[in-house]
Amino acid sequence: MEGAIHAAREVPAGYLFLIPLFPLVGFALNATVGATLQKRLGRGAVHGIALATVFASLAVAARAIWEVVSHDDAVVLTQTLWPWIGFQWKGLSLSLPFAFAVDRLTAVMLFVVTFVGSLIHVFSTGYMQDEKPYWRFFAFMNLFMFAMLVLVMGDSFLMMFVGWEGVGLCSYLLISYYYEEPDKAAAGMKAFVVNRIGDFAFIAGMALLLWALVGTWQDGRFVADAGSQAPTLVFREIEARLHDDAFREAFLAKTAWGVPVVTLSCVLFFFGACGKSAQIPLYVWLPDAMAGPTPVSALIHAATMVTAGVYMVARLNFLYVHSQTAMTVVAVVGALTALFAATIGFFQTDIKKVLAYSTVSQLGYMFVGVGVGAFSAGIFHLMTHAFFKACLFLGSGSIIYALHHRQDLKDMGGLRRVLPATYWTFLAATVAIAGIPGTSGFFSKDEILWRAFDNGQTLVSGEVIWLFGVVAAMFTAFYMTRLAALTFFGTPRADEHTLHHAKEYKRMTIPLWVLGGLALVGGVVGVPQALGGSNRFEHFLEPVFAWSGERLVWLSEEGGGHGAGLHSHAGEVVLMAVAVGLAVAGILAAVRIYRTYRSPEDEARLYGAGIHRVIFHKYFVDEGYWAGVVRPFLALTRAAGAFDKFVIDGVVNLCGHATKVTAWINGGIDRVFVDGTVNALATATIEAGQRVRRLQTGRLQAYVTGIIVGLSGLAVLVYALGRG
Amino acid sequence: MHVTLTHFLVLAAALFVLGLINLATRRNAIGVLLGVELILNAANINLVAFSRYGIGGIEGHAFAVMVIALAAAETVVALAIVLAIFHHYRTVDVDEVSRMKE
Repeated sequence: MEGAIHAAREVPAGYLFLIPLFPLVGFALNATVGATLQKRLGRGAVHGIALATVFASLAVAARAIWEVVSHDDAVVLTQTLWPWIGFQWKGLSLSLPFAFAVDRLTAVMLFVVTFVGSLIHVFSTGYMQDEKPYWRFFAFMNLFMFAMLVLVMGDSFLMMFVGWEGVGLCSYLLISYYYEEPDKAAAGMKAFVVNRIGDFAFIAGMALLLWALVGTWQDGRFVADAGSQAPTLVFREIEARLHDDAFREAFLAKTAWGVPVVTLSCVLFFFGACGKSAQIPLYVWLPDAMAGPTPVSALIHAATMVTAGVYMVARLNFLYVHSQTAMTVVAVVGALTALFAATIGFFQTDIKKVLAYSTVSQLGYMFVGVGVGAFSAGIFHLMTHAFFKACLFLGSGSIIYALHHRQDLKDMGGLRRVLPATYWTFLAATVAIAGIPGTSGFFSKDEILWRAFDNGQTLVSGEVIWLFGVVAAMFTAFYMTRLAALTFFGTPRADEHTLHHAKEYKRMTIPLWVLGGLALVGGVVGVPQALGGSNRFEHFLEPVFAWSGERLVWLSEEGGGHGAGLHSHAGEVVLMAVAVGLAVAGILAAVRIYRTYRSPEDEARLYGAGIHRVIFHKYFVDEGYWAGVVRPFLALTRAAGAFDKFVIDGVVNLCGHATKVTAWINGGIDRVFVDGTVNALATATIEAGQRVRRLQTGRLQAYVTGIIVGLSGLAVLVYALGRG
Repeated sequence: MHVTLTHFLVLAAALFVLGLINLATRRNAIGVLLGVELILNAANINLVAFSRYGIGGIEGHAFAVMVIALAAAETVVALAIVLAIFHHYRTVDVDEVSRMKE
């Protein structure tokens, strides 16, 4: 490696702050005066503000993206707003600015977030039009956009973490949008708590990395490296330091608890990503998150927030490529999740739950992509998934709205004629997610599968990961076809009245058409060379991942990689053919089985009651968590409460009693000795007074006698003294 | 016999002592007042005697007249008190009236 890769050129861009600022302003307006506006001017004013700010943000983002794209070399647009965090410790000083950076990876995310976000905002104006707290919905949606943009544009771990927590908060707020219903409020809480578990790992990884960059632990004490630079959490700086061979060797040799620090922190970061991106074992919150309004599911729980974990792993590519273990963990967890969640999608009866498990499964794919080192493929799938999954969710939203908020498949069927726009776009997204050749999902998914098969650095052989992925692809095709069949085909199961009144609003169909169209053709940017394309998407992201790509090749050669080594286009085409064949088989099977409506009872009979029961109940994972984690935890809190009540309070009360006793003794001393002295003095005075009192007879003559005697004595005294 | 200052002084002293004894021994409040009058008049005799035989002039006589006036005023007040005591206690025995000790 002869240093062919230089750090990207930094270009200051003073307008970057506007991108997150607009939605923040929208949030501030709707949060403060939204309720009044809605009452006085109607809902139009509320969504006017929300849409204007989101579209303004989209416009500025477009300018930033254009600037990134128009430079031939890899540039990073940067803007430093103000010095943010600074502290000193043992001669090390950390200073972090509040800064934004937009490189090519961020540009992709910016496009996904602002573009899909804007479309979903438009859709929401239709879907949410009957909701009373309309302003609250849009305020939180705008706040979410702000947090998500900070997440993707943040220049450092901490900036990213601010956005990371911000989107978590908005997710919670929007899942619990219908907070009057206890189960929906509980779903929000569940999402929040599960995410906190992941976030803890994120913080731990961040702290570990921060210190490992500048020092080591010896005997439990931190020792700064000789001549170390200032600690940093800025992504580009960390990467630039790793480019230095001497620094990198020293850094990679560091261990904590016997594990290489890079592995430990990468695994911790990935655990954080598991929380946010709903991977095993923390995926359980996402299906429950469907309690929120459907546009929220589309924006947060399909297109943007849940992909933050994938984005983070891709962003940290320069770290991950140095830890085979961490990469393997990412790829394996992704593959397992992809397959596991796909099977749960089989028998769900709630249209949104099917899509939720589908999202979990597709996120697994993305993690497979970034886990096997195909970072751009993972991000490509992230983008295409944002198109087709947002389209599917909005389509389901359109159905749910038309059916008066009924979302069970038993009430659907035959909606093809009633909701034609929804039908066609839903179908487009379905073929895209199933991976029918030519659609966006086909290109991104097969890119991942091919790279997984071909990779030489995961500890688990690439073929196994590929097998998981390709089986999951078949399952995906199956359950998505089942979903489409049960929704749009067959005889309508909704009542006449509902069907008669069902209609599609333009505000809802336009986003559907745009997203459906992109789901079909959005893959053209990433047509692989094996199919005569040039994979422009990968080339676009190359500057971001080039260095780690080289490191990866070098590491896998050094480690005697066991990749299939099918570095040929023919091999890729064969794998594609297999994947497509399986997907088509899945579709055909589903079409055969679901030609007519199958209730859960029918399905149980069809597939075997035991299997159906286990899958229908999602492998009893929630129940397992409840019994294995939540209940023991609650028991622990109760025990802690009891401990508090009896032991802590006991000690406190004991202290109180001891004080009381001391005070009593003290009081006794006071009473006996101090008061005694005072009283004795007083008594003596009284006694003396009583005695002297006898002199006062009240008899006039006694007094006169006294006077006479006194005067006489005085006279004698004067006479005697005069004589002397 | 030539009457000298000494005779007057002895008379006045005798009168003073009698008044004093009267004051200290009589139970009757009126009697006590009489004792007071005797003492005052003993003083008057001295004043006049010293004026006549001593320094001359009328200062002594003037003082004596003052004392007589004072005695009259005092007696008025004292008799009023005695009357009030009689009204209250139905007696003028000063030994009975001993509430001054409180």
